[in-house]
Amino acid sequence: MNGSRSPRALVVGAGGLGGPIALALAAGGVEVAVHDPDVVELSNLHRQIAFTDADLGAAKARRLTALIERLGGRAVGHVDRFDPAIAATGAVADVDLLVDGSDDPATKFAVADHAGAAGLPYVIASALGLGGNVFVGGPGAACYRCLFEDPPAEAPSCADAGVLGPLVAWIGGVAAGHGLRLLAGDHRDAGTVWRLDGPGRAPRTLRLTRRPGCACEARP
Amino acid sequence: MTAPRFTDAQMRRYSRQILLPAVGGHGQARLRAAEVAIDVDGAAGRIAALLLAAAGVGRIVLCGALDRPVAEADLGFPLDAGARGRGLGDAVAAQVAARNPDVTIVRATARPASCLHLDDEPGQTLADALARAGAAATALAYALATGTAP
Repeated sequence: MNGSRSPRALVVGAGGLGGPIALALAAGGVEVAVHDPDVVELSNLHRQIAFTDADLGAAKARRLTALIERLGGRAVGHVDRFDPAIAATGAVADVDLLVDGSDDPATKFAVADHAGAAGLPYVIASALGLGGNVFVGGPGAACYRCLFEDPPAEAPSCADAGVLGPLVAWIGGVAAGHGLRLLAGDHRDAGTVWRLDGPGRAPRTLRLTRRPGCACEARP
Repeated sequence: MTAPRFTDAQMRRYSRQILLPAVGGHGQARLRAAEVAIDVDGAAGRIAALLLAAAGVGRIVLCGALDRPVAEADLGFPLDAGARGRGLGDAVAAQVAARNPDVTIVRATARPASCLHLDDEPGQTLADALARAGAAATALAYALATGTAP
């Protein structure tokens, strides 16, 4: 991390997970760049507490960053999808952490691959139904592909399978906490996955080892 | 059992929860009929109030020192600088109401025995508060929706 400036994070997704993640990172003094192509819809509001009915139809990335600025934080919103080609250059290249809170498996793999290739720590958060998980990655540790190998051909989304509203704040808070610890130089949780199987079940944290044959074996 | 009735807007607002087999329309109706009292003195309690209101809990009872002015230490999500100096109860009620026009917000005149209290911990970050509020609100919303709440 560049010691002469505030830490910077790129957050993919400004919704149920990305919203709390970006809010919490910004509250921790992190400059946040948020990428999300979507607008706020009524079906988002049972879980996306960064938004209200007054935000309906507006770009999530812009409304979220406006909220962060009203709360005294620093953020830039990009109304687009995460693009590894763009992330490798220009204004978003100089980040210290990547966090994914999107609802798209292919995007999660793209974020993890980009972070791995760039030697950056990263956090991948997912929520669906009554559970979810938070993967913590970093140089030298097991990577996202060590756990999941490849994006699934088909995966249910919240629009298909539903999600209990408050769950995303829980998972987003856990993900942001990991992000803040990674930015502080604490990489002890890199290579772990925090997993919640449902209400009433205690979350579990599993430590992973590198999968033989995984592309990350070639990295330091 | 009679099918619960929701307006078109309510169906869209709660559709992702109604899709859940454990919730369904009847679970969402149980949330709408529920009342939850929450101490909003601390950040985690305030966030839990927002989460439960957004999820469709019909009646939120705010507890705590509601008449005290919002202090510098209270500022942070969901209270921005515009809340500075306002009464805590008014500031939080406005935030809760903004998350869901369906919810009825009540200011407790005496602390109910059932009031949900989430202690803020020393050095607590917003990430910590979100995780604690989210965990508590998830457990409570699930219990209310499935009819397993005490």
